[in-house]
Amino acid sequence: MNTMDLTSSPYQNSFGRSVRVFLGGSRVFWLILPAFAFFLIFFFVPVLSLFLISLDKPVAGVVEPQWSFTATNFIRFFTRDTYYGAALRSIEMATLVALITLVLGYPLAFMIARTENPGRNTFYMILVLCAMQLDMVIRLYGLMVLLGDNGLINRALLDAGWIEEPLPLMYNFSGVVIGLVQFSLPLMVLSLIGVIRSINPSLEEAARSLGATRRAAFWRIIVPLSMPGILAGSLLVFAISISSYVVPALMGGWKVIVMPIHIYQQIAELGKWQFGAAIAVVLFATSVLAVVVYQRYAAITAGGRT
Amino acid sequence: MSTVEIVELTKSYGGTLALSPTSFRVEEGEFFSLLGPSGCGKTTTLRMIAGFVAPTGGAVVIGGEDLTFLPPERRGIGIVFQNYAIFPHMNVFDNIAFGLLMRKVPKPEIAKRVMEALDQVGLSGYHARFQRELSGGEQQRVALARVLITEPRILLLDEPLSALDKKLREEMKYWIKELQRNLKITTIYVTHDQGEALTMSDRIAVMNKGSVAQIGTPDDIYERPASRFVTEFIGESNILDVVVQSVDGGLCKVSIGDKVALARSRLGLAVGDVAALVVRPEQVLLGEDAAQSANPLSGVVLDHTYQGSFIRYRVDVGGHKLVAEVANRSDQSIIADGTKVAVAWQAEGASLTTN
Repeated sequence: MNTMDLTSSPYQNSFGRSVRVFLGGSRVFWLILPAFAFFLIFFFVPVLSLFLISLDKPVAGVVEPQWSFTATNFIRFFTRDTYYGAALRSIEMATLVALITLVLGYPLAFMIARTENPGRNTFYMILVLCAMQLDMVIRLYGLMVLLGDNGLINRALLDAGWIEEPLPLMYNFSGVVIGLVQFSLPLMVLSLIGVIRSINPSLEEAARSLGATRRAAFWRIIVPLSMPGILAGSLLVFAISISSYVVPALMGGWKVIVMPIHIYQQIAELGKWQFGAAIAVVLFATSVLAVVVYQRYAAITAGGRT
Repeated sequence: MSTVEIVELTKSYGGTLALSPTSFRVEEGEFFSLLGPSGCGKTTTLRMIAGFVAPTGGAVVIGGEDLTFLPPERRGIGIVFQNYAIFPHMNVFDNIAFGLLMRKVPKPEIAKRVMEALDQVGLSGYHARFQRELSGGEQQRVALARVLITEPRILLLDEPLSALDKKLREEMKYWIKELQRNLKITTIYVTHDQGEALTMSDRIAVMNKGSVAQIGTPDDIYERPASRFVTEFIGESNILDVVVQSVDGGLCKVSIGDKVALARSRLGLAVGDVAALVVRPEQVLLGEDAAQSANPLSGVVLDHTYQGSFIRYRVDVGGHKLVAEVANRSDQSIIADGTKVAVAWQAEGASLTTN
């Protein structure tokens, strides 16, 4: 007899049981109740109401659900290129940011993961975490000082006589990407370190003595085994980038129009809650789709390890 | 199939010496064990032979070729790790094929040889499995097949049995030994388990604190330990402090307190020397068997434990506690605790060693 048999009774219906199993088994499920309640009230309810009003006909200034169930907002989104163009731009930007943070972050994470000296290891970790200490907006103003037309970089290059005109580093697509990479890099590094550290060094040594060069061992052993971290990290960065409002607003100077900018404009400037909600739903669906695609891909690259 | 010569191999980390200059030679086809407690330098030695650790000094010569500074992939050495290091993202086939793939062997030939290798280790039909679907013993067979398929010049085994349960460990011990004997492959085996080293090896190097304490055949090591450390590390021993009374050819007369006993002599002992007399528990005679010998000591049985095929006694002999293991024979009754008994040993069964 196992514990399941002891705790389940014939009077419970199977739905109640499966919910309890889903919540971690009957013994400990009350431990997660506070977190569950918090998410229910402060995440699930607002998101659900957003989904609801996205199906209402657009009326400026009205927030309450009208229960009119129409696809008008979504048709409008997918028929006007300024809107679906923003969706494509968002996806492109988030993918690019995920890629750049991966390329920049992997060597850093690898180096930290392979540092055995505990003191030095802690020091590196503190450096990585330092990058996350300041508030987003304050950090972005710091970036502006660096990247602006009169910023440190352009000033130095102009003074050195290497350029005639200031380089367009900000208030454009690349400015937003730089801002997002700066924000996401620590998160990418943190998701990679744990996975790389868990790869047993003897796997690499085994590959080496079987005839693999350092490079071959890296690409055939280390990288495939880092895949869970690579996927988790880039998914996290993708989700953060595609939903970021502050960075495109400040670093893009309202010239880089991505989905969150549209949402803000529709709701805060035009009062069209219904259409703003519809864009938010598309944004949410895009993120979920990315998760599903990644999950599939992760299952393949994990070589049967699920 | 090559000889291995270790010439003055040294490793220090910072100021601490992990391996003092060490030299030994492993003959072609020999099964050679590095045996010692943890931290004795045996794993460091193995890792320097494999090329994972750069030596501070000295050389590793295999088959006459100095490969001290070659990277691991160019050494042609096969190594099996304690944890087997099966690549978890590849199935058994890809694991075993890895070495041939790195050598750019054509695909059809790889497939053929992998299947042969699986046969050789008794795992036909396992090619599509993943590491998590294999038992410890199966993982070990895969690790061996993966190494042997590349036809390495020498085979290094790093505590390959320590992760297995006792029964499987016994089985694999003989299986590995047989495989090694059939392939006639030069093998260096690292272990802290004296039982494994004694049963499998042609020769053993006992290591302690970063240097070799003794090199010899298993019976050399067990019966003629060169130092007190080797004596205490290999098997169980009774060690008595004695003074050499006379040296007469192969045998020595020594005094234990006011008693006299005989032991096998060894080179360099002179009358008056203080030495340690070593008697293995199975060499100690008690009661009637002892009374018949030349000059028995007398003792008192402290306690005994029944072990099935033998009885283990603890005996107080003039303040020294001796352990005796007496075969359990039907014509002999168990000696009760507190009984006064004669204690002796065959002179050939006792050896002398310096402290």
